Amino acid sequence: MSVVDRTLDRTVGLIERLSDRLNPILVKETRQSTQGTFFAMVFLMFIAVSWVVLTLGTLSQWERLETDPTAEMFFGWYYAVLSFAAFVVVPFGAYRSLLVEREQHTYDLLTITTLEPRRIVQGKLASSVLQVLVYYSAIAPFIAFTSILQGFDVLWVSWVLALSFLWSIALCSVAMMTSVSSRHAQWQTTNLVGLIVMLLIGWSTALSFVVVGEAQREMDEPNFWLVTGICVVLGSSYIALAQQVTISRITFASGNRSSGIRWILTIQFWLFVAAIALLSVVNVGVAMDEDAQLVVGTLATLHWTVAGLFLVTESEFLSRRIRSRFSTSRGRRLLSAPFLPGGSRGLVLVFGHLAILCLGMALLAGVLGVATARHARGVVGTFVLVLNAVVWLGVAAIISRWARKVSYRITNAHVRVLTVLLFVLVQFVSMVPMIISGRNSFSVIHALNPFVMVAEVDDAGRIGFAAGVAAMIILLFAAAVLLLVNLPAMYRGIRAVTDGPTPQPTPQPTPQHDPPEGSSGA
Amino acid sequence: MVAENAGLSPTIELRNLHRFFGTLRAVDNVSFSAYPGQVMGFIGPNGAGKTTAMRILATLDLPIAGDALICGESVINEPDRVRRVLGFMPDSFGRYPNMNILEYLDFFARAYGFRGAVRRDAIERVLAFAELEPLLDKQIDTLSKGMSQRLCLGRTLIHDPEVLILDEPAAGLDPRARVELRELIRLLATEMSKTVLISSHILTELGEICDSVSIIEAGKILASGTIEELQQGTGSSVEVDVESAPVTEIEVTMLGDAGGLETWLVQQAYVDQVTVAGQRLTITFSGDDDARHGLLKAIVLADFRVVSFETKTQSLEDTFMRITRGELQ
Repeated sequence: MSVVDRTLDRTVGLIERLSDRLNPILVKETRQSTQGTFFAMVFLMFIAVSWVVLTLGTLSQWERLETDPTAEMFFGWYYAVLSFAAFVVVPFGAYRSLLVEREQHTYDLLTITTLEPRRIVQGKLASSVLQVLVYYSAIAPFIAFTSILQGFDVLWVSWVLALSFLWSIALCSVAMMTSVSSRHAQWQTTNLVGLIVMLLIGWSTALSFVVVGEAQREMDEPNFWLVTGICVVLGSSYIALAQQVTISRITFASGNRSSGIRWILTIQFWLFVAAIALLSVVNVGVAMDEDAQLVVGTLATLHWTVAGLFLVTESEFLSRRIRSRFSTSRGRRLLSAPFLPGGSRGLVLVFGHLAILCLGMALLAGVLGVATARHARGVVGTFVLVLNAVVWLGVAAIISRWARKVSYRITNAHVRVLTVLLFVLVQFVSMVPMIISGRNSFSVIHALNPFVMVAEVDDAGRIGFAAGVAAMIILLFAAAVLLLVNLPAMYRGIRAVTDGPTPQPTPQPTPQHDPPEGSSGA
Repeated sequence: MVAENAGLSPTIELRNLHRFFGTLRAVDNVSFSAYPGQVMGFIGPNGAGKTTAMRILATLDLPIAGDALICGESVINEPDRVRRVLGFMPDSFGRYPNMNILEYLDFFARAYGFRGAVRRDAIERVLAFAELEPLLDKQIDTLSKGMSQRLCLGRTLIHDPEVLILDEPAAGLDPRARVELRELIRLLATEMSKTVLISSHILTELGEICDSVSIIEAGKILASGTIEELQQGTGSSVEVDVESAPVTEIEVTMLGDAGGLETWLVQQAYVDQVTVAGQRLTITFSGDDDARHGLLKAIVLADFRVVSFETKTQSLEDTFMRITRGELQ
């Protein structure tokens, strides 16, 4: 055997050992892509368009190439090509990838292997990331050409490419989440249309952002990199959330589909708090600024309200599989209870965090001495939103429990839609007097209308004291009533975890062959 | 069968399994067991609940009540452990495009966590068993139905499971492919001591490879036991009524007119019905062996010109038709 043969054998062996460590889905999809015609065609088109841009651009700008800053224009064109592939083609492929598994009856085969749902989703995402990297490497020579032109800003280009990479992963994650969101054909069609629209908007937004280049001029600002860092961290948390939702959707019915999502939502909230704290340390004005306080309060309440609508409408059922994984310690069970599936435990988690938010805002008001009505817009506005969240999530939880008693045909989705419709109806009814009278006046009827209430709080000069106080009392009363009505269910939900039987350890089965190693990530 | 399995733990055990889809009772209080080395047939008309029960066993669906154990592990509590010892072949072959046989098996070996030499050995073992070695590089979307089913069976065996659940594996196969598949399945049970639960519409085929059979209709198990037990009507039946009590058919051929014998026969004990076709009479007889012997003796003594007296063995098809009622949900 010659040296060349030995080297080749060693290389093949090394690649094979390396591929053993990779996610099986990634290996499979890479093989399929390299043997299929679709990827090859798209890739060749991508290269061809890049060449056309290079050729036409060079010919049209020939006179100015050495003297004028043409790099920005060339980069804009290449970015349009790259971003279309990374923000539209690849995410759409990710969407199809999971959907096709169901259509071609391969998903069941995949499910009954020892591959965990997490690894299936990671494999699909890794395959998309690999495709994005291929497109990045294909465009690299063209961007290298751009770098020799006048006006090339290496920092700006690097920043754009890095964030675009993250944006592409985010779109792929959302696309995968969309593909598993429904099994019904009519909803899949709606999802498909919605996804395409979303991807095109995502692409055009990113493209206009880069072409306008506003951020390029702000790169020298002191907080630019801090804000970028915070955006990246929070953006990554939403990628993780989208992935976790996808994982939950494909997890076996007796498995725990909720805890992962609850943990990520909680981590997101605390990351958000940490980001605000960090910004406040760097720039004290953020904490002092009432508008900023209101924005922070609104975002945090919105986070828990939207998430809460899904969590509090979950079924209370805890499968034997979930119960068998309870901790033997009662204390640990108590702490973990809000993170376990079930609408009532969802209420505990959401209301608990909303209480923390209110407490934080109250402390902020106290510390900064902004407790007077004129200087407490942010704090009072947040309270109004939180109380509304308590009311409407409480309503959703009650509807959910009632629906389960009435008919098994009423699903969680029905309950959510019903709650939203009820919310919209109440908002509309509260607006009727305004519409009829034609006067933009605040009254107690707006107590359950967070939009009007917050607008009035924001514009503190216009709120009538008596009407404002009365509306706040009504809102407080409604929130207290709904909290009290839900309290027994919340108590029972926690007791179901703390007082459940202690799980017995299950003996490990005797392996019949070399133990499968497929449980860890790639 | 009970004596044969004495001391052995069942590898498949369904305990009062229930699965309803709204008002449709797809699986309604189904219980049965299968043991190592046993091939068990799962028979029922379309929509009887076979596939639903099999999907629950394969950890693809969840019962609303009851449990199913594979090698002692609950499909509800420990689906991950069940998947390590279970191979499932669904009725539809999931084809991946742009993939050849070797890559297909390699993917599933990786999916089961096999690495390096262990993975290569597993693939080679399966290729040899399913006799697919000459077709390694063939694209799977160009395979014939027979070859596809072989590959699908091979994929099911890649992690050397103890239990195999095969949903209509012979559907759409030509006679040769059916015989070959039947041989492979028989080999799995006899040579490799695997437990095989197999559903099929081709009852004659099941009769040839199954040690025992469970008959399901409208979500309920109507009867289960060995084929002999079911043919004799002694299997464990859940809802076999008086009309479907054990009966035997006797064919009598005689010289000359059969009318006299027919008149005589209908007066005899245990003779439920007599039909005449030329010189051949078919007797529906509900007596035991002694009674049958008595009838033959009486015919001879009565000097009827009988040239043959043959007890017909019930085929699995006959047993199936006798036990099921053609109920639709």
